[in-house]
Amino acid sequence: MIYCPKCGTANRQGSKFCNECGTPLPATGLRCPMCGATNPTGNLYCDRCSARLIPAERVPPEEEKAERPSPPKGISLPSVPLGEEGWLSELRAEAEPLDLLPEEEEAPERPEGLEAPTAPPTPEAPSPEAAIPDWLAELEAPTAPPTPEAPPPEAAIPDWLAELEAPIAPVSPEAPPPEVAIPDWLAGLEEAVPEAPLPAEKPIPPLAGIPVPPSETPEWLRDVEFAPPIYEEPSAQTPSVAALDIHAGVPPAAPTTVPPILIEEEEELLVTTPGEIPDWLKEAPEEAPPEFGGLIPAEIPEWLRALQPREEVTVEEEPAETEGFLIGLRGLIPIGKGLDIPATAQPPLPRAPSPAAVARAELLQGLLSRPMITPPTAEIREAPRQSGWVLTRFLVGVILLAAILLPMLVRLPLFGPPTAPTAEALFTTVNQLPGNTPVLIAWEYGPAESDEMDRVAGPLIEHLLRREARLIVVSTRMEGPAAAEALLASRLVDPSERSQRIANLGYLPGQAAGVREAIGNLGGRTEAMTGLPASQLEIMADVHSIADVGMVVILAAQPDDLKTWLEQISVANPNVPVVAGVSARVELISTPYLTAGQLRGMVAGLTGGAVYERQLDTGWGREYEYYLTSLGMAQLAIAALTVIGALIFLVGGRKR
Amino acid sequence: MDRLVKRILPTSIAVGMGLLVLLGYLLPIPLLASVRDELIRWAVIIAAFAFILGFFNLLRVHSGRARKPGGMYSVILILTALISLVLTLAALLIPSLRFLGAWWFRYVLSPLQATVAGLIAFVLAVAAFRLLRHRREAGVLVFLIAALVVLLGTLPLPAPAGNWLANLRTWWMNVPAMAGMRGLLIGVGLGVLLIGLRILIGSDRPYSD
Repeated sequence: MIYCPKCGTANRQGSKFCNECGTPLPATGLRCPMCGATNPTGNLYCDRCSARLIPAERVPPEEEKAERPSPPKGISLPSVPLGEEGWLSELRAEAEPLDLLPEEEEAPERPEGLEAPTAPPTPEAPSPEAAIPDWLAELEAPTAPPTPEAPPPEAAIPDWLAELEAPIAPVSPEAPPPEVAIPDWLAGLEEAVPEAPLPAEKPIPPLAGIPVPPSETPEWLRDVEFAPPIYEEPSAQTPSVAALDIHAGVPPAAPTTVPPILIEEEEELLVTTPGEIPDWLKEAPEEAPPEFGGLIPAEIPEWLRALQPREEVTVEEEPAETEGFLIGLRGLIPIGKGLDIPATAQPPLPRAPSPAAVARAELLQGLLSRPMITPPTAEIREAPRQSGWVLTRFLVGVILLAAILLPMLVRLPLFGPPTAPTAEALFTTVNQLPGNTPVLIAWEYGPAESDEMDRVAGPLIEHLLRREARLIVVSTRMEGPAAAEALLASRLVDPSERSQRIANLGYLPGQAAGVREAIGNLGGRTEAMTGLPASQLEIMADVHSIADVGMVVILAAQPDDLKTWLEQISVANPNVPVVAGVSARVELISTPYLTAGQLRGMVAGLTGGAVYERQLDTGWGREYEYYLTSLGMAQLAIAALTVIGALIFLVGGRKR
Repeated sequence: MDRLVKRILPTSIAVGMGLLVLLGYLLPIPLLASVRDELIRWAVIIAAFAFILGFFNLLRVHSGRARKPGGMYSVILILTALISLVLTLAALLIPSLRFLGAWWFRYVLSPLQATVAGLIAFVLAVAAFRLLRHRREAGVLVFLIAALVVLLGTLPLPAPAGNWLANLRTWWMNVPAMAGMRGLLIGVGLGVLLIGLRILIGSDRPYSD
């Protein structure tokens, strides 16, 4: 595992970046000094070039140490490129008299004092005196003398170690290195080094039940407590010994803190019999890459990993059934993810509102922050406007009523005789109609239009009756048959002749389809007033369809009715003559049919009815005169109101 | 299945029946003509039933509204509809009661409808008075002048102003107004043709969904 130097997250071996924070991770493993390849920890030779990864240990003589080149610039504290030959050989020199434990069998059976630090031995942990260079050993000598009670016997030293350590004199407080071994510039710096070592600042509480035997600790080390493995950036004042690059030959910084691993090593060396150094101790400094910022990651032994606390895995318990015959059972319905989302969950808001939204919000906030100003004159102005509006409508109503009712009281010779050329043409057409001719009448108006349309249809119906035509009435409007019956009854001179002159076939549902069906099967219908089948009526004896009709009269108050009948008749029997009596509003739309010949004649509006009535001379002239005068007066009144209103609003200004 | 019932089947029936009726008009084949007439007869019967359904739907809707505040008018509507239905049925079933139907029409329905229609004149008069209150555009002025010409030109005013206005009104109705009306009629005709074709090919389905 590789621990991130920034956040401490454990990353998989070989990772280059931290999985948590993305910080580049230091390379672990053994870097080949020849080709630079990174090899797994434990390799003795490089996988690429077969060069030896762990150099043969050799402690240079003191003369060589003194002649070593000075450290490069930028490193404030004196350092000696000890490498493994330096500080580790000193450790080994001190451990020579001890009986070293066997590498594998004895490691789990460490003394209690050495098992105390459960944290993995990190390279940052300061080391006691064994990791201190020679020049620093002199400073520590008076304060923390090495343990004199454990002189390693010569016989316990292995052969390979004996060869290496032969030229080296064992380091002891009684035998400090000569002053000449320290350069002049270094001597001045050494004096500036604080006397008290730093590792005692943060004491580590020993693990419960694993006390450190004080009797096995040297005097100078008794005051030193275990420090927690803290990753710290090496500084100029407190350089770590872990910054040593024993393989690359980089001059190490002077250690001011002692790595715990070395403390542990020291104590192990002190309490156990001297012998060979365990592998975990050998590899500890080797695993420290130079790019690790002064920290040397170490492998945690398996027996120590077993003690590492593990994260508790909470198993979500599935809910039990609370009702029904399955009550109490669990795991019947899996828990869905969607159930975890509250129903009122809102989508996350954007992290930062857009500038436009901020501007709108500020505008709204500004508007809301303003004091509400109610124009005091609003209600005062509203009241006259309402009263003025009511007054306007009242005056218009009064003027219209006066214009309509005045001709009833006073005969006003304001208007001349009406003219309607189309009505005169229609009169001529009807006048040429042979007697007893069946005439189909489309009665397409109701009570709402009867005041106008009765004055249009009345003279025409009477004229047809005078011509002894047989009137067959149909309508696509529900109120049409009743309206027809009312007018026919008023125009029929002898009501007893109705059955011989009139057949009201009633309502035709289906609009155009009803018209098409009716004109194709007139004999199949039923008389609306008597309920008799049309085939049994005398006037329908020879009339079965539109082909048997001598004329079609369309009485339409709406434009669509006129178009529907014209379209269907022109398809069913285009040769039958068609005339129309229409309201004033239909006059305009019926004119094209009139000019196209589809209509043989037309009487339109009250004016046309008056013209037809005058030609027919039925005796209804006085009524038509009254209606025409009232209509004219009303039209004049409306025209006057329109002009007055236009002038008022043109002069007075536009209202909003 | 739902698509078949709601879309495919109605479309097939409508297109098929429409083509049969159209062919009955276009081809002088007696069989097609008889089929066409029969289909049209069916359409009339269906339309009659649609009126019956509409009548009962009207009663249902206003019976719900009658229970709410302001439902007085719905109550009146329901009562008058039922009275009209009863009187019509009575006139059809009992010949001696037919005068009731005529009386109801002459003295109730006709005055009411005429009154409502008469209000149109009053509303138009007020609107004419306030024509320039809100808008003073060129179109409004043209409309105002045209309305005045038609109103005054229809009147049999004495000569010479009456003749001049009558001629102006005749020209107005025969030239500009007729041009616009012919355009409207042509547009309506083309629209009806297009709608018929769209229904025949199933592009428009007013009978489904």
